[in-house]
Amino acid sequence: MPKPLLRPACCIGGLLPLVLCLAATPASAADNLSTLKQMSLDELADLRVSIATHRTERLEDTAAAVFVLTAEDIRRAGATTLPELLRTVPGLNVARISATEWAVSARGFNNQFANKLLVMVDGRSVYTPFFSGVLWDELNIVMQDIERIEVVRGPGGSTWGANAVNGVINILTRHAEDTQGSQVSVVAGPLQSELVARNGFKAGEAGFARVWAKAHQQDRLHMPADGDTADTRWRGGRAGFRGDWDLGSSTLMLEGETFREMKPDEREYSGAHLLGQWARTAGDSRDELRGYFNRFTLDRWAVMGNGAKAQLDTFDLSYRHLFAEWGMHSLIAGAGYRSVNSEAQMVPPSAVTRANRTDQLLSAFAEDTLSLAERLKLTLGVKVEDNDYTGIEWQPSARLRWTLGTGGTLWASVARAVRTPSIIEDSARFISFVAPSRLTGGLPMSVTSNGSAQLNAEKLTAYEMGYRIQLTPKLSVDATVFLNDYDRLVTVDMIGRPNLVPTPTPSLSWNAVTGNQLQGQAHGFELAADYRPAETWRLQASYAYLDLNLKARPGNSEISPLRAEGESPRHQASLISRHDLRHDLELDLQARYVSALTTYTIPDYLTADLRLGWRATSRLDLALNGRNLIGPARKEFGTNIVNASDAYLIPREYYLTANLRF
Amino acid sequence: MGFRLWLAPLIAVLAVLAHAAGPDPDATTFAENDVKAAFIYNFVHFVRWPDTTTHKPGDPFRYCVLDDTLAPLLAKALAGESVDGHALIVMRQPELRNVHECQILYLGEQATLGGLSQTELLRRIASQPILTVSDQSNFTARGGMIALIRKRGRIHPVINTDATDRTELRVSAKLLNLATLVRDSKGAAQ
Repeated sequence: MPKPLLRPACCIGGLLPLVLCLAATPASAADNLSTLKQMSLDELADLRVSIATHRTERLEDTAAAVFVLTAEDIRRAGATTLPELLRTVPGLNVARISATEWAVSARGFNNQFANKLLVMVDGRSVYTPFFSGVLWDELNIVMQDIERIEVVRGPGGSTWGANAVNGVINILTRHAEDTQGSQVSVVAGPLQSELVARNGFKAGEAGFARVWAKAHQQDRLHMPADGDTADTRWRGGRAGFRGDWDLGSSTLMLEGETFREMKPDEREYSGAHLLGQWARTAGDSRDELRGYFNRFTLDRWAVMGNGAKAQLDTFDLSYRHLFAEWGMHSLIAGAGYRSVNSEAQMVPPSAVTRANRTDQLLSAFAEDTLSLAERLKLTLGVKVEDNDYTGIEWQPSARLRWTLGTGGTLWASVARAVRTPSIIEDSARFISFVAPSRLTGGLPMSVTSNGSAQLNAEKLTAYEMGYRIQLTPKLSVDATVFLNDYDRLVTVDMIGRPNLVPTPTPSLSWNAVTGNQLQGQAHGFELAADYRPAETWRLQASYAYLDLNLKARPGNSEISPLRAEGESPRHQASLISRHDLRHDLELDLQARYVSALTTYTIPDYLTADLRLGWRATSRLDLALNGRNLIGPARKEFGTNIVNASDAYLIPREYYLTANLRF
Repeated sequence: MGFRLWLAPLIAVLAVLAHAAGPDPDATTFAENDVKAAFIYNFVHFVRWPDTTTHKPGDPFRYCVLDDTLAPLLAKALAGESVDGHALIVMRQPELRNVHECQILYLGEQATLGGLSQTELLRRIASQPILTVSDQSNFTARGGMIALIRKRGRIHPVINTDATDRTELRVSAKLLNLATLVRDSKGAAQ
């Protein structure tokens, strides 16, 4: 993590607390002030001051590969969608597929349906159990209201449970007190437009609230083959609120949202959620209770056939307790319950065999941080979950952090994480048609793939080690190496040979079933550096290397691992420059290099984004943004659904943003 | 559970290495006033003063601090620092007639200058390029420019943009975006 080793302390909702919330001991260092002087404004503003002692807590680095995007990073990235913003996070691989679709992953297995990255907003999971993965166009959040985004590369199963396999992204929205007053934001360009309005106000004596609404449109992109085959336009709107109340010894947060996103003839979603969060601090211990209801309706999704529909209602309740320190122990424990009620309707002959189902998930976790020696901390954690697909899953982790006398931090961890099967993998039947070709002997072929209730969870054992150090007041570096050992990865296994169906016209029919027939290893390393040549200039560089080697489990020689291996780049590099040219002018450059994706025969590329920001008045900010400025329009990814449309060309793009506060 | 075998020697090795002496970085915490001092120090980089006040080369950039707690902390923070050839210095007891020489004026709760109340003082220097700062929650409502207030356990800047806009001072986008913006009419910081 290319930042000074200082982070906000225990915030409810944050994912950092569980990994790295370590109690601070009283100050002794005489050079506090010089450390503070090296911090940027937003880091200063993020420091927590303990009310009781009038002291801020310094939060040490964690024994994990963590990166934090602050509100200032988000503003200066100039991105209008989350995936575009996530391109600025070292080690994440982001590829755009169409106007509405992105592939986002860490440490391999990237895909339109990348299923090893858990994503949460204020503690609410937006990872859909329907097909395992994240619909990034559903998650069309208001960028101005994000407080920060915490990204962990590597497993987080011992804390967050299933599906936190290759990484966790936690998006935290702003406290309502921080969004008082009115704000209007506009994005305008040839390919996209957006309008966001927000009003913040006091809600009673001890509370604050905001209401907001957003409408947006992303224009069509084009296919590589002919300039006219275009994607359709993506439009959507949403509105919501958040309120925060200080109830003396406890705090209460309520938020809600309703939305509709649509892309005519292709996809249409709607949904709503309501979330409440209560926290109480008593002495050195703390209780946190969170509950939410989330409805997601898939009104249309052409890849599943016209007329396919699905609705998922999720109810989730979780509690955790942070115990006061006891001897060398610092313990956090909690429990949770989740129910997902789903109704799915497919277009015959495709079907979901259990169309209406209610799945329940019970979970409990404990995490103890032991201060083994003055500068050596060991965190042992385990989460156990009982799910309706694969039964009981244990996800333990051990993380060791050693603070060296030189000021560097060395850490190592071993952790296990699982991905549980989705509804589709468990019980859907899909028929897809393959056009006649030499491979099919000139005959048309239908492939029927069936879900299997016998699926096991995918399993990962991950070994990581990292080192980070503030080399000089202006330069910090961060290095991580990892070895991921995967087993029982979900596959679609062909059964026997294609059958010849003589009538009505000769064709081939081939059956397939989901299985757990793949295993393998990923290893790699990630480097990041953060250099601040001046108060007004910051440079961030990163490089990530990945080597993914998969193979069929013994006795399944027909499984081809090449597809997944070639879906993630072997090399990725980025350089970000954030320069304040004048007190009212900001110039931001984001350059990135991505190596070739063999699965989709996509060559490596280098491209860059630029942003010129102008603070026109105290309350009006304007910015001119250019994206993908180097080279021609290019494909960044492919699609992996038979008969589905191919990926689109991602063009160079310019847009203006304006932000008015009044 | 094979990883435990892998872990045991690692813990043993690190436990031995950890006895190497050195300051315990865990013991570093920050006092609220240190954080405020760091904020105030930073303002020189995130506010632009008009060229007319960027006097002759060699003239110092003055932080006038009317607060017994913050003055020594800022003096320590500014020691040896300079911006564009202007040394950053702390003046603890400026005279009212010399107040125009201050680039930053910090007013503690008890501060008075030349027998004027803070509100009168702020009114008198309202059009001058002096960045007025305090940690009093009603400071911006009385015409002050920046209040550093504690909000949910953090130090948070509140900026009265009417007050800054009356002068030739220009606050940077970074600081404005971080802060809560208020106006004279409803200038009370929460």
